[in-house]
Amino acid sequence: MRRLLFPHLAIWLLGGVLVRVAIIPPENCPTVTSGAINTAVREGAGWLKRGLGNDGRFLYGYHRNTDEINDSYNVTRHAGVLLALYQVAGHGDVEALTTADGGLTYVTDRLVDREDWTALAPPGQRVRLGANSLLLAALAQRRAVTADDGYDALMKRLGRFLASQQLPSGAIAAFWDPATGKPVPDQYGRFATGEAFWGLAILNRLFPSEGWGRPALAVAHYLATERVASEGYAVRLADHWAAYGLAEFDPGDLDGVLVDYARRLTGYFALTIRVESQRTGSGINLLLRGYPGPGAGIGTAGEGLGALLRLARRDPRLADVQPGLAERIGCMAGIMAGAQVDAEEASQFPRPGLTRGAWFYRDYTQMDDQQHVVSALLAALAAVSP
Amino acid sequence: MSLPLLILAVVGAVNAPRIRPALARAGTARWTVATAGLGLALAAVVGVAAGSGPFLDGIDVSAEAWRVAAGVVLLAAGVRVVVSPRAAVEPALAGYGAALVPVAFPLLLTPELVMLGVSAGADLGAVATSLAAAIALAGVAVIPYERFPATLAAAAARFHGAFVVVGGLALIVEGIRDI
Repeated sequence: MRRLLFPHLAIWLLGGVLVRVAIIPPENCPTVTSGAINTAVREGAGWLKRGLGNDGRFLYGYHRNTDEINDSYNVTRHAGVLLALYQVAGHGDVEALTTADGGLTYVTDRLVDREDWTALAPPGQRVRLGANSLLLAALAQRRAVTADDGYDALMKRLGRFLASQQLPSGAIAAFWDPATGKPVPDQYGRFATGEAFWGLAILNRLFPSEGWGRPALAVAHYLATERVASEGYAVRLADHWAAYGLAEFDPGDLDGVLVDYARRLTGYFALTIRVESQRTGSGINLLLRGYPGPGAGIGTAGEGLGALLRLARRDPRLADVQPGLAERIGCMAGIMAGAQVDAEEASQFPRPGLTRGAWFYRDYTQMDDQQHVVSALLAALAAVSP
Repeated sequence: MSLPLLILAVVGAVNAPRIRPALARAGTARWTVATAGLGLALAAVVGVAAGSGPFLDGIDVSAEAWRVAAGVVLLAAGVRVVVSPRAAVEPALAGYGAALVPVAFPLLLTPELVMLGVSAGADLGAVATSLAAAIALAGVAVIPYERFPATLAAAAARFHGAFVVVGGLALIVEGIRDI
């Protein structure tokens, strides 16, 4: 009897260990206070502020183990950093506003005008949909912080550029080619479409009588129902920019399709955070789960959760996901507050100023790591008790 | 997971057409022993479902993550049954001890049923889980599959295995989608 029962017990034991190690390792969500989040935001924004150069560009990336600076640049990420800094300014950081305005000069020197639109277009490059969308979002955030409407005309002209790229399906071409004077056909951005949706949705909120809602909702429906098939993706993308866009609307403007899309997005972002909370970065866990994720990856999931939490608090159709959203974004905040390099740790590296306040992934950090995590932490403040 | 899908998955996991012939072959078909074993199994599932919340908290696993794990286990178990529908003959303890071994364990309390019990307990509560388990175990009690032609019982067992596969896939998808 004992001999025959043993195989059953062995299977239970080994199966249990296998499931525990491979599928459900412990989810570690450190408790975090709003004070700790504010500190992490200040430190992360500090890295961005210190990176602003005289030419209005920010430090792009830094390898702390080799002490090498990555000199490449990306104008979409530049616009994203402006957005994050204006968001920080919205929480009372005057220096962040000054820094963002310094970075804005890099943008305003590189605008091109056409008949009814304006776009950010670095010389020799195709005009990028995503960069212009995030620039629009950054200017809207600046407007909210300063109450200065001096950039309203530019925002609307940027919006007309976004709308001019839109196809009848609701999709938006990712590039505009100065050589042909037309949108580049059949090229769509992984995130640029969602960024454009957000930009148009912002304009609809700020200027509701000007007809921005129609193109914005057309993009939203495209993202919700057609993009996966028409752009050849295997699964729907965890598009945090789309989440930002949905959160701009009044619940009454979102039909069932878009609410269902929002619900689906909650799951994708939550999965990212759950998996991140299972990572230890060592031993067999490293083999099975990989390294703790990059700041940009975890931050975008946090931003998506934050945007959807704002939406869920206003839309009773999403009331059931509110507690889960708050729990997951709180988990994200705890993980990322703990993963940030503090002053003491930074002092052990060649350039503490380029290390402190950053989130490194395998000894490398990039401007968008700080951008996304800072934005996500600000969103998390609304969900975390003091 | 909806209640109908839970019932389907638990009925599949208990798999009466697979269990009844195995009980008969093990010489534990005496109704008092079998009933006691079914009662033990039901009590265990109720206990597992009722304790699922503290259990998951204790091992730092969210209900959604457990759902994915349960789905994987169900999927593997379902495929195994579809491939091999006959349960092995198990040795039995003497007298009423047979209610514990092999009726309750290892025939009824399988890994897939326990994983499902925890998941359903966390998602739908102990009452719904108990109801589903009671329905599934009642199927074992009342339908004399051992009297069916062996090929028919095996086909029915495979069909139940397919329920488990469907339930497993549903749990995985829900676990990934849910927040």
